Amino acid sequence: MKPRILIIEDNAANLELMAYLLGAFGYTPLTASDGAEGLALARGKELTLILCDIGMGDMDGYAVVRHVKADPALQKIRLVAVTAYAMVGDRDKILAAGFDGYIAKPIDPEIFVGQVEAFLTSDRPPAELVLSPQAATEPDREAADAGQLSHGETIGKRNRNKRNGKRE
Amino acid sequence: MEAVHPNPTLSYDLKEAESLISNILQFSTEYSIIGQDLDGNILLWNEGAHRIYGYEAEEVVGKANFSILHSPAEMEADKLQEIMAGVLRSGKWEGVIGQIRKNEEWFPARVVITPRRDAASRPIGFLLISKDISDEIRLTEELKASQFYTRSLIESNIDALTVTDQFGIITDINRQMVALTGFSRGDLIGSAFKQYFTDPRRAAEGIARVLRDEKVTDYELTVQSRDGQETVVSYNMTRFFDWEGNLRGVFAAARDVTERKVFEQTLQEKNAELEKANRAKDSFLAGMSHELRTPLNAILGFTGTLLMQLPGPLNDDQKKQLTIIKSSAKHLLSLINDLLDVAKIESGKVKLTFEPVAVNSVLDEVATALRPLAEDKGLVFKVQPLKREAQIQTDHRALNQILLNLVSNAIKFTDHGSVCLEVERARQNGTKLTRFRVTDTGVGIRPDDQTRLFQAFSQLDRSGHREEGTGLGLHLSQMLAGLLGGHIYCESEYGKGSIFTLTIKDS
Repeated sequence: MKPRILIIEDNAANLELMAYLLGAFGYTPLTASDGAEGLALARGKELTLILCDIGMGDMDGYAVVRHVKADPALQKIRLVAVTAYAMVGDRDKILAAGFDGYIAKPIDPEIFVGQVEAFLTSDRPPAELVLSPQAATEPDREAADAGQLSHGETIGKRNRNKRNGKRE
Repeated sequence: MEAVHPNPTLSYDLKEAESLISNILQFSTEYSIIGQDLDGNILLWNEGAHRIYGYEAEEVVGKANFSILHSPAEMEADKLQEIMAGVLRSGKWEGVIGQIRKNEEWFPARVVITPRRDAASRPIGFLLISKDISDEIRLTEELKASQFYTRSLIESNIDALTVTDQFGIITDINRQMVALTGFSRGDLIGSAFKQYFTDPRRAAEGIARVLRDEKVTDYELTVQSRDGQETVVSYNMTRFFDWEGNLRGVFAAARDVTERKVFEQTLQEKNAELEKANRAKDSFLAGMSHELRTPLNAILGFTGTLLMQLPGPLNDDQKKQLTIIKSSAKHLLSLINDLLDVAKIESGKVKLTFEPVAVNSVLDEVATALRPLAEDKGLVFKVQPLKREAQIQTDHRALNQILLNLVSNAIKFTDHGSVCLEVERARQNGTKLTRFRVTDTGVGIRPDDQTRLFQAFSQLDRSGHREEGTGLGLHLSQMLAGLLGGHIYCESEYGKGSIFTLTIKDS
């Protein structure tokens, strides 16, 4: 059985993007469009991971992480921020607030699921997967793409195989 | 003087008395003693008279009239005749009159005139005892002038001045103090200094402190005037002593700093406004970054899922067009990143961390990141590290960013040949420096264009490569180089290639 993932994201398009990508790789994520709804949904669900937006209306990502980490029933769930707050200092601020990981928007669809899986499979996610695109220039980002393209392709191929497998 | 005998005879007493009088006459040098007859003829002239008037006894006794001692004006006014008549009537005259010395100098004298009488009490002349009081008068006048001068100084001071005794009781004030407090001079003198302030304890503490420490400067107090008006003043105080060295009290000068306070307040408010504007700008930048990334996430994300063919297979045209969307969206993203970087550098928000950075390892990072890009284009990618690894004090991220920019530009604008990244340590005018050189065999830059190379959005039309950059890369790199205390230079021959050199001095 696949680990359970909850996505909390108030932007419908971005929520759909993440849900679609995870769905394409065989996950069945739960989705919530604000913090309160997400927390309500998280209770009693035996979640492994929450992907959480930061900038949300009534209850933002910081409030979510506070609640989760303070709730004995939830505090074991890993929290990864997926946020458009990607300026210098944002990553440190978000990790300092209690998040276990940080993925900046725009996400790279080719490596996104790999990044997420790193938080599912190991206690301590590899540092290089706590990516901060802000720290790099355009060529650097391109290079990062180039460097990790094979990883993305592997996942893609595996996924296509799976999908094909499913269809078959 | 001889000793007085315990048992003197009368004759001896007379002799003694004569001698005594003679001595008094001769040695009273401070007092002029002059005897004259009723007509004013001088009969007696002592040493004091000689000293004061300048005439020898031989010159005047029996030879001169008393009129030589008086100013012609007084003589003409018959003032002296009146005085003499008065002396005869009442037995004595005492007063100050003007006198003339032998050298014709006028001087004031305090004079006592008594009549001389014979055995039958008939007046036979006058005795004039006088003292030159010109020094006394001069001293008095000097003292008056000096007091007036001191008073003027005190009164004309723009500060409100107060003098207190060592118990903090006011002993003197100037009119500024009257204006400041609204109390009269009479009210103020004799009252406690501290009672004129909103915080009497602090005022008393100021006095105590100056008595102890000799001097207190910029001591702020708020005066509360009689009608309740408050004025913020800054006190400069010093203790003072009398001429015998006894501590007498405190001089305190208060300057109205209300205006300065208002000015400071205004300045503070302006600063707060600026701070607020700055924060607004920061939050605008952060907001813009966030708001632009959010839709880009969906654009790049779904373009990606399509290109990954997650929803289903694509034909070649679809792939090509989706790739164009992807690269345009990425271009937009780098534009946003560069713009934000420029904005941050321009508003001084970039915080650099200077620490030892290994030069060759930076070269490695850049090479690792960009070698695939160069090789994909069929270019030779050469790296020339230092023969002996060295560490320089700089900001790793900024240095990395500059080199990535220069090298990726070189790759971008080179279609055939090579891109080379070298580094060397050198010495220039006694300063050690590190020189990073990026050499390409690309399209090169026209001399005219080289001058505006580092300006924002001055992207040159370099043989159809225009669409590939944001137009901010070199501008940003030059700004970053400046922050590192370095500079980027460009040499290029159009059609043959370019050399970009980043020079960083050792700090």
